[in-house]
Amino acid sequence: MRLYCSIPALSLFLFLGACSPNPYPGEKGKILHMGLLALPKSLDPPGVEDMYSGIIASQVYEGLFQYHPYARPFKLMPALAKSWPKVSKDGKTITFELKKGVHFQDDPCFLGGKGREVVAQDFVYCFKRFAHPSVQSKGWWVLDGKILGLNDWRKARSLEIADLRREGKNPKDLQGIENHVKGLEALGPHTLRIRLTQTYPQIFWVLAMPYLSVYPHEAVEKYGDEFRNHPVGTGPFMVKSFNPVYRVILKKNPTYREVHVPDPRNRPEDRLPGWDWEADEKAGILVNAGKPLPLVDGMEMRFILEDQPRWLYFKSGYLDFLIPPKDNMDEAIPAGKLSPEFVKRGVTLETIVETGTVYTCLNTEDPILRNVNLRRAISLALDHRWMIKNLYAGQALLAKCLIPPMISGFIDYHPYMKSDGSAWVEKAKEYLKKAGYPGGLRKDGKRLTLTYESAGASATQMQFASRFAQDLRRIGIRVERVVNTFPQMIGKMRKKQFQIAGLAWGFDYPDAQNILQLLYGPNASPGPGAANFHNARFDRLYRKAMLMMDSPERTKVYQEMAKIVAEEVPWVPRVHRLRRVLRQPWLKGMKYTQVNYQFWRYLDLDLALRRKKVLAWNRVFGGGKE
Amino acid sequence: MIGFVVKRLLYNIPVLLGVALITMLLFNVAAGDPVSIKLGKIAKEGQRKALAKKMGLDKSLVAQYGDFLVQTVTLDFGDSWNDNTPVRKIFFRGVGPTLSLSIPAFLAGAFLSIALALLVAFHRGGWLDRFMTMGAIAGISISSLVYILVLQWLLADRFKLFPIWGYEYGLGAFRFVALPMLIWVLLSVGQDLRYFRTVALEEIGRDYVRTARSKGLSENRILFKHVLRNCSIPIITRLVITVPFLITGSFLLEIFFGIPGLGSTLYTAIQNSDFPIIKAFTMLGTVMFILFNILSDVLYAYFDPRIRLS
Repeated sequence: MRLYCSIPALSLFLFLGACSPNPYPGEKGKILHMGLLALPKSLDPPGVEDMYSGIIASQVYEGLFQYHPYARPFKLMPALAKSWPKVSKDGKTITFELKKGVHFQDDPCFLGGKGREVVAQDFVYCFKRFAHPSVQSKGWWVLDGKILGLNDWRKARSLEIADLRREGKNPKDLQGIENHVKGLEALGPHTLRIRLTQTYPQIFWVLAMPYLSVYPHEAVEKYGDEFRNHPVGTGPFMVKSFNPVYRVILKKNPTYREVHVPDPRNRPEDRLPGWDWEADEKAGILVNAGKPLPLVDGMEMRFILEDQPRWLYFKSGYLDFLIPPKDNMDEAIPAGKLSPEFVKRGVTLETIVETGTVYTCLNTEDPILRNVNLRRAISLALDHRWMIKNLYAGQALLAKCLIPPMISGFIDYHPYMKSDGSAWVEKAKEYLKKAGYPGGLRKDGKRLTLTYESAGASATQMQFASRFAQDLRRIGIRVERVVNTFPQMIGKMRKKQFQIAGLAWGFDYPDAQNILQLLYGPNASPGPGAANFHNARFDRLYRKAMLMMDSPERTKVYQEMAKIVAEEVPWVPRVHRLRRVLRQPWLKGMKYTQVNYQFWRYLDLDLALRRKKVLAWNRVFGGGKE
Repeated sequence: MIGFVVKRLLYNIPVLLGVALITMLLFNVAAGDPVSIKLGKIAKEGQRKALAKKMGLDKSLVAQYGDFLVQTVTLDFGDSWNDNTPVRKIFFRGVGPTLSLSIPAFLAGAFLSIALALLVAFHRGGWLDRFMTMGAIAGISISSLVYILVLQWLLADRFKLFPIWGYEYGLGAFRFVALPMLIWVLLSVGQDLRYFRTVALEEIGRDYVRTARSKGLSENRILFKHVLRNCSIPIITRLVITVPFLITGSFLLEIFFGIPGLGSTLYTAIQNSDFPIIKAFTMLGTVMFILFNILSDVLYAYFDPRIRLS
């Protein structure tokens, strides 16, 4: 019996003795700790198609432009471009001067391991590789039909590959990449000219996307497929180790050129028009102004897919900032204010409106939903206010316009929505009658039945669908609910085999065109325009806006288009979600956004304070109290 | 014996073909269109067709089934559709962390279950037996997710005894797998204890135990030398059948504790409709299950001379 007791006791003793709560054993230097809630897919720029790959890639790579880390509305600033480019009068030719003396990060792919200077030809190579058919970039749409000769070049490569395969030969990885593209020219080592097929005002936003970052052909050739896990860029950080299912550790790039955090107080040239920098300074955001990048020795990003461990990690001080999971929102921000426990700990809260829109998509080619008055009745019957209070726990703004408030083109106008977002049942019934369905009954006396499709069977999705059905039942329409996987839903939309779907759109860049394109007639299914909306005036305005640079005139055109959408109701905008970000007391200089990920490189931390706090919060049996 | 093994392997070929067929059909019916996942929100028809061709999805179902069988035989399931990494590489990347959790947890769980089973069988009907049996039933009845959520919160967050989440390769792994290991052991003891107790009870009631007691042998000697030896056949059979699951891992534990193993890989593959990984894991699981079933039969015959393989 003694044996029975002593073995478990000894095992338990050894077991506990070997354990400690610190998940970063042996860490040295100033390392930012972040948690990503999904796995990154690829660090090869043309494959950087998701937010999480984008966050990592944006610290390692750079392109011609980058987002200003603090300015709102969003502004761009030159990254590897020396300054703003020369644009021809017709807007179709853009000439960039590149910064001189910018080097790639040191890597064994170079002779002697020393990173060479970036030249214009590198951009030509990277843009061509992005367009190459064998790379299959999900982001191809950003340049599709935009650069002179690029589509023909892409098609020629596809044919060349097909011909070689037909002849039984194996095409090379980037077959024919050396062939010339008319609209992409290196005029000198530091001069790049891009010729467009037509004016493309969004191109500068596009050039700040990770897809079009610059990298050396030597790395692609050396690492082949492994290049996706072995990035070589020009940015302030480089990859020290990367496990695609666990974490990435970035270390500072020792050869990074001299770049400083914008300092509007001391450098008048940093005061961008429209940016209220004094407000940012007052809020303590500009605490790193004027300091050279990189500000920290490295970053460790862990891919924590489940909510509970991510939440507990932050509470223990092992993450420097966090968007609290939905289930922990009440604990973190009860009644919309930061919890007393977090206030005591020095945690701060930042609230931003997400650059995106949650909406209900109505298939306007459906024989029943073709009826505009029926669509209006649906819009009027929906209770957005209830949804915000109960399904979003107040963490969303009513969306009257498909364009969010911080994007040019927003208009506070929706004739088929009450100003407080509550359901307008009587008016909805009127429109239902006008539509030919009095009391929700069809001509044959049977009840009108519509189908609502949602992607995913999460509790939230089910609640959305259930509430939608309940809202429409009040005006006499029966709703059948169908749950799909995301790919199934995309498949149905592509084939126009749906009536109503609950969807959301996150902006790829902060320009209303990015969302308006979904309602442009020629983009109807199988394109991305699932509502299959065809409105001649809307299409005309879209084509007009596509030729205009950012200006008050273009904003007016966008507003006109938003007005048409509000009146014709191919979509019912529901909400713009709010993002609440919790910041640890030691984190310095953060202004959060989801539009770009370059702001991460402008973060600094007070290491001594972190050590002190984390130690206090993690005493064994200490209960996590300070 | 060789004849028996060969015969059993041949009998299991239709099982493998059936599993492959069901996997294919389920994927095509339930998982939706992987091309849509890969190309996302703005893609043209030409792009879709090209990618479908590259992924082999333009072929007929019969041809895809044929490809699947060839892949199973050659053990080359191609590249992941999600990040284009070869499936083989993904497997080797994940197998270490999975085994670093599953092997010690399996051994500790087996040791504890057997020891406790002998103990409660020896004290049959006493308070210890009743308490342990009730505990085991309660253990089986509660979802493993509840154990994970509660123990992670209690032991890692409130008591700060273990890291909440994370992993280190090498010896450092122990700190990180300790808590998930503890949960694994609790879960497996709950399941195994009742079975092993029944087996031990059956043995303790046999004539030879009475004879041994009457000869004056100590209880420890009776229990460990005689009873345990005779219990070993059903115990080994049960444990051997568990082995394939050690390799596929526990995806809940791996996801919740940040262990970059095969379980979490499978979990994300299912989420992303990453068919090459799903195919590889399904077939690997099936093959291992078949092999270990045959092994358990062989061991049965080895330990019990009364059993003849035929």
